[in-house]
Amino acid sequence: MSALVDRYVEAVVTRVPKGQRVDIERELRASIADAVEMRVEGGEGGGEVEVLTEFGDPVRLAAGYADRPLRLIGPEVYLDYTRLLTALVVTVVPGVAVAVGLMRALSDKTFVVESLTAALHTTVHIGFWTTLVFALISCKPRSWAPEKLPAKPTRRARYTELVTQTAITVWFVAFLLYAREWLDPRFNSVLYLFMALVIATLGFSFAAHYARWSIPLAVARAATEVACSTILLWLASTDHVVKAGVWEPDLVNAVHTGLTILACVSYLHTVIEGVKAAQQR
Amino acid sequence: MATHLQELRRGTVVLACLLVLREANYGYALLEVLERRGFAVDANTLYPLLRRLEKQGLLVSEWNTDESRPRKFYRTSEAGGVMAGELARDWVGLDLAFRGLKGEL
Repeated sequence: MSALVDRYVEAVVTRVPKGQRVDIERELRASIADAVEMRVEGGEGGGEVEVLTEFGDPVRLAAGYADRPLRLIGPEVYLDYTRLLTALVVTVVPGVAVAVGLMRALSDKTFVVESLTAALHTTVHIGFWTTLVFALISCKPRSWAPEKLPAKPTRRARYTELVTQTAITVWFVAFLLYAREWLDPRFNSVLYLFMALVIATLGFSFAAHYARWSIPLAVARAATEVACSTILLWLASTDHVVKAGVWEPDLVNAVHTGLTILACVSYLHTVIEGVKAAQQR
Repeated sequence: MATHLQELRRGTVVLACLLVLREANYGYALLEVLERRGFAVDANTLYPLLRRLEKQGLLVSEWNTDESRPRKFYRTSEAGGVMAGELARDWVGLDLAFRGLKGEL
């Protein structure tokens, strides 16, 4: 076997699942050797180069062996993916850039560089996480039947809801991260937990949209929502959201009252959605 | 044109393999037989296909190390034989249907 064949076989087997490598390599080498031999015997001339050209791109051959698609985002979610990505980049990135710019300008710092850096970071994060989520949704083959068509409100409307929720979540998390220095130490101590819960809530919304509705999923979703609201309510009711001395006391009181109301509304929303979903099934 | 022909022939290779492999044979020889019998198929389509059919239980395989070059021999399994029968019946049905469309019946 020449070095060329070695290189070809290597290029194929490194791209197939580990457990099949030895067997595929053995068979592939035999097949290539057979083909070369036949060419020589038949007096067709040429040899390995022609045979390997016929076998074609090793990446494609490996994809055939591995029996997996050559793509990250499947056609069934591709449009949703581009729509969400566009919506997030268009709404969140300028928002973060302006907010960070304003915050820095207020504290007399150079705001142009800060604002551009924040915009760039946000774009990279949005791109990465959105792609990751959709790639995960894509790896799972989906079965479909007409009865899975959603009742009203239409899927498009629910998708818009999902996009809006995503934009608000990303915006909210970005804001919390950039405003960390203004937050109360107690809020800061649970900040990552809180953000993880907020992001988990969003994850469950995606799951509810793309996966089958199930009781464990619905319960987990409700539990994370309740946990988020509870943390918020606990911080707001004990005056531990904003660091003391940053804003006027009146404004801080207003923020706390607002957040308390928000947490209560969120509880109510969780219950209503839960009951509605249970009725629809 | 080439794309349409390829699309039309895609499934026929499976049936041809299941029929030829009622007698055990190895990859390259099968490629030759298929070509001689009028089923042109590329090596990079056939080899992965054989593995897929094996995984689905339609073919069984065995390594033959008697000769200087070890080769993997494939043979149509019982399930593969049943499947071949069904596919062949479907093919006859399609042929009949096409002739009907062309007004030959």
